[in-house]
Amino acid sequence: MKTPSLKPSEAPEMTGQPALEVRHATKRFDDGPPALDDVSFSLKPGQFTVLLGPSGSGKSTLLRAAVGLVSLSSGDIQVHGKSPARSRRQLQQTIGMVHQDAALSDRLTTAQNVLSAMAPSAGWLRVLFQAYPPAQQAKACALLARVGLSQDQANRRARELSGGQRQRVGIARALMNDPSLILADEPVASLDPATARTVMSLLRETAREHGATVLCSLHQIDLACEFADRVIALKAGRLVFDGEGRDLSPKTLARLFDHDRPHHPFDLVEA
Amino acid sequence: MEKSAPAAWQLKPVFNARAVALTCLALMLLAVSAHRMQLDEMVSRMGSLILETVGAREAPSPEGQDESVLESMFPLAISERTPVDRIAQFDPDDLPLFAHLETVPVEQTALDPDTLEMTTRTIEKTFLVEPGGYLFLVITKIIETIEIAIWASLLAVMMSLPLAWLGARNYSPHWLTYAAARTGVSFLRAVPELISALFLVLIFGFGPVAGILALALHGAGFLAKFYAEDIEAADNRPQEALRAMGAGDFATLRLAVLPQVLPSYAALTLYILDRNVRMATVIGLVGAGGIGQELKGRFDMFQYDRVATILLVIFVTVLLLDQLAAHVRRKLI
Repeated sequence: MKTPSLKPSEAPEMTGQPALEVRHATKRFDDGPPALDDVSFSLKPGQFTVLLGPSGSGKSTLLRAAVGLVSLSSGDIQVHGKSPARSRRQLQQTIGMVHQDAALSDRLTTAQNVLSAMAPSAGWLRVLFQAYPPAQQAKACALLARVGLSQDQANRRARELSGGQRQRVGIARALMNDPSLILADEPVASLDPATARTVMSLLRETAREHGATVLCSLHQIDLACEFADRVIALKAGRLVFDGEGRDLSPKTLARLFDHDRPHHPFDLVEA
Repeated sequence: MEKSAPAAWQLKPVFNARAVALTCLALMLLAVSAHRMQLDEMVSRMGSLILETVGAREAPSPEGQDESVLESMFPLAISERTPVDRIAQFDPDDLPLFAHLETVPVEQTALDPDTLEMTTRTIEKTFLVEPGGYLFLVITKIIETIEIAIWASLLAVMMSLPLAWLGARNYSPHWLTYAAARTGVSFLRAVPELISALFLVLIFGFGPVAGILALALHGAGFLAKFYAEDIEAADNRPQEALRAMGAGDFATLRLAVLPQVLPSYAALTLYILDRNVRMATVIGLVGAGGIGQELKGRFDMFQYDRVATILLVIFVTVLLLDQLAAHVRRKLI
């Protein structure tokens, strides 16, 4: 059998555009402080960037806005020069997303979970019977093998896998539609440190092989410094640091993760 | 607040005057209602029945109606005796399986055309006796009843799936379709099978079609409500993963929702099948096919031995199906 190509369908470097550009992104939910407060940055193609910050700092909101799952209150996000708010469906098919706890369909097999990335572009009959073309099936098998799963595991239900294996499947699913941008939302939040490290390095290697830009949110400082080309730190929705991991000073880190959060609603309760 | 000595504390009474008054009112209303419902007569009748049974009191009269009903139920009617002259194109050389002929003298009263008087004479009459004939008929009828239940359940599932899609808040395309689907589903559930069967018999005539439709409409109302609630309660994370990849509602429902809700759907559908078998016997009473129609006919002809056979067969069938459903449910979940 011919090994299917794992190369990305397009080369974003050629266009010279940033892979992701965030301009004055602000998001307010009904009440309370803004989840995102005037955040701006842009990602060069091929970079591995970590979005660092404590829980509730706006990391998830930013990633969800980039893939068009939430709309911004003001500001603009562009993926390869296009706004997810306008051409959402089209854009989503060029973005791979890795979710916290993998977000797999538990009762589908591992392979069907990976193939579900092809569902948006498949006809309804193929979706109904989960019958994807042989080329796509071969590609799913190759990806599952690449992330370290066996044929036996490919045919098991997703709920039978361990946490680390599930996230490997999540990475394979994110790579399935040859994304030029991979957004990872706390991909290792529920894993033990050793497994977290393997999953993170797998994410970085596979993304590099595919030439994909990665924006990965984390709350673990050590993992951020170890894997990131660039670290962007958020706190209470504001960008507080943008640079290389080794430039993160102890003072910045203390400020980032301290418990003195004047705008946090919990603090108002205590006071 | 100032503190008082524990000896001076006032504890809240468990029953206050209001609760006592409300309880008395409720009891009074129940007493009035009990008289209206003739519950007092029921109690005295049951008391005398018990006294008669234990022999403490003489039974009022041997011709009591309910006693004759009980007596005529036994022995159960298993065989079928048909006069040969009532059978069209009877061929004595080609009898049904296990059947035999029986000739007995019968007294017949008829008008004599010559004397114009009623005369009684004894004639020989031949009967076709089928030893398991009636039981066989009842079993065919109960199979028909189960068929009605299966078709009704299939139609109910087919109708309720689109209704569940439109009636699930997170997948309904518009709030109007949501409101319409929920209202329609409530309406379907609100109409009892027996009532809709009455009207459907008027439209489709006596027979299984009216029964199937009546059960299917009610079942669809039930299933659509619970299918929709399962969709609303499904874990959102896999759904969001699919939406993030650009999947539409159909793909999200198929790949992220359906696998989650399938065990619950199977259990609900089995319940409806189980319920439809029981209800199919009941709606036969209004002529909507199946065993109920036979039961009603025999009851109206005072053939209580046949009624007893039918009741026994229904009981055994429901028991067996209940076991089967429990077994399937264990396998699925």
